[in-house]
Amino acid sequence: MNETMAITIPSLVMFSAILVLPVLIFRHLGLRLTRDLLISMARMAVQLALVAVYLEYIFRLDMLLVNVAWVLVMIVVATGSILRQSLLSWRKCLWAVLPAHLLTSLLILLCFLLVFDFATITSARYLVPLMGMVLGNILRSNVVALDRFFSELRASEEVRIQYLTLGASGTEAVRPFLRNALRAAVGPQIGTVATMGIVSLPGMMTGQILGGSSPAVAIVYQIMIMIAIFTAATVSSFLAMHFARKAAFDPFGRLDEDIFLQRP
Amino acid sequence: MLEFHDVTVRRAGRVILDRVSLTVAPGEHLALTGPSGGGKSTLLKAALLFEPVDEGAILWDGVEVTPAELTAHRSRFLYIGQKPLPFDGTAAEYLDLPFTFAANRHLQADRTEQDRLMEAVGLDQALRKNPFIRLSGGEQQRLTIIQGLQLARGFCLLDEITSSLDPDSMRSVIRLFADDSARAVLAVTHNREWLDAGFTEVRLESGTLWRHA
Repeated sequence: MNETMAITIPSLVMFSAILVLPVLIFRHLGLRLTRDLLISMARMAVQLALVAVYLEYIFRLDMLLVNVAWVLVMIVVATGSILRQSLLSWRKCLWAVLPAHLLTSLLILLCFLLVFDFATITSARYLVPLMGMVLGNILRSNVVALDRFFSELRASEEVRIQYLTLGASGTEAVRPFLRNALRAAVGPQIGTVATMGIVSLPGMMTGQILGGSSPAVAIVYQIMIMIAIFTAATVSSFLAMHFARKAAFDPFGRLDEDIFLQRP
Repeated sequence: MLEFHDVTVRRAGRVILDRVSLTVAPGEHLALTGPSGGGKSTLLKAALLFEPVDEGAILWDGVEVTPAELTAHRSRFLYIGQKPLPFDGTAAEYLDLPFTFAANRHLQADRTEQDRLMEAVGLDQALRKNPFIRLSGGEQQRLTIIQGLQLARGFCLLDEITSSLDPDSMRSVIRLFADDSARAVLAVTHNREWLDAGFTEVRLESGTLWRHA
């Protein structure tokens, strides 16, 4: 299989000169985004360079324990990022949301065993990118789910009280909130899946084709990863809300304001 | 019979309710008025033990209600708020929602009763098949009121339920509660029409309760 042509660092630096175009447009419109843009791009470059170093090392080592440890680190970082973006308190919610992602990752890993043998899926070359894609793509839906769930619970407390007086259990009274949040979180993704291949050529497939795989091999991977991502997004959002709910109410059934990050 | 006995509620150093005493007898209709932030919603929530009281007690038939009987106590009431939550389903499914709760499994939605209530508040039967989220805010709110009224609850706690309704719908809703002598009603409102319909005014200002004779 032929290797991808490597891009040299000097040519990458040259290529980055096209950022002049967005900068010029920002200036033309008087948008003060140039600073943010340059900082973000620099951050990305540094982070990816660091990850490349880690990954080189992990790939060369390729030890089961190290690979699993790396996936655990990804899960913790993903959970942290989700909590921060949905403005929830680490202290109160980490122990509710982290298990949701551990369970989901375990489930997805077990499902991968249906198509790969154990040695393959636990090797660094398969485990790290596949789990990385799944975890990276469920962040958005988790943030939407938790944010919508708690902001609606907060804004419409009276609806929950109404259902409680109508005989609903604690779980039944939050069910309508859970339904709305899950719909908002994964509903739009169903539409995205339907346009795949026509509107967007998905990243994994592109990467594999550039890496020398035949398109026939690449689409099978792509279909599998789309199924994995959608399942993981739904299961993890549901579990995260379900576990977070248990931490969120006091014995009187009131929402504990401490679960929210204190806004400045 | 619901009784607030010398109820004081403080939140973040502020006195929300200041030694409030009030008895609501079966079938009695009270309109709770007063300026915003005067503690009206807190009083309704205190009745349900949703706002724990700092001093005093909530009594039911003369006996203090304790947190141990939270569920049983709450299901004596029907609480309705100002605006519903978006619901993913038809209006008919929305009306049937309370019957999906495990505690109500032995009950069945009564179509005739639903139709009667819909007609009473000026809702067309044809709405039943519509997706709930396509209905106007006023239609959604009236369905929410009907949703609650289907269950046998002797005591209604209403928190400004007519604030989003047009004048005709508002009057039909007030009439529905005013004509219901079997239910006690404690309705928070800024609207004098509740008083015109025969409700007795109870006024709450800066945490202090005044009852008009």
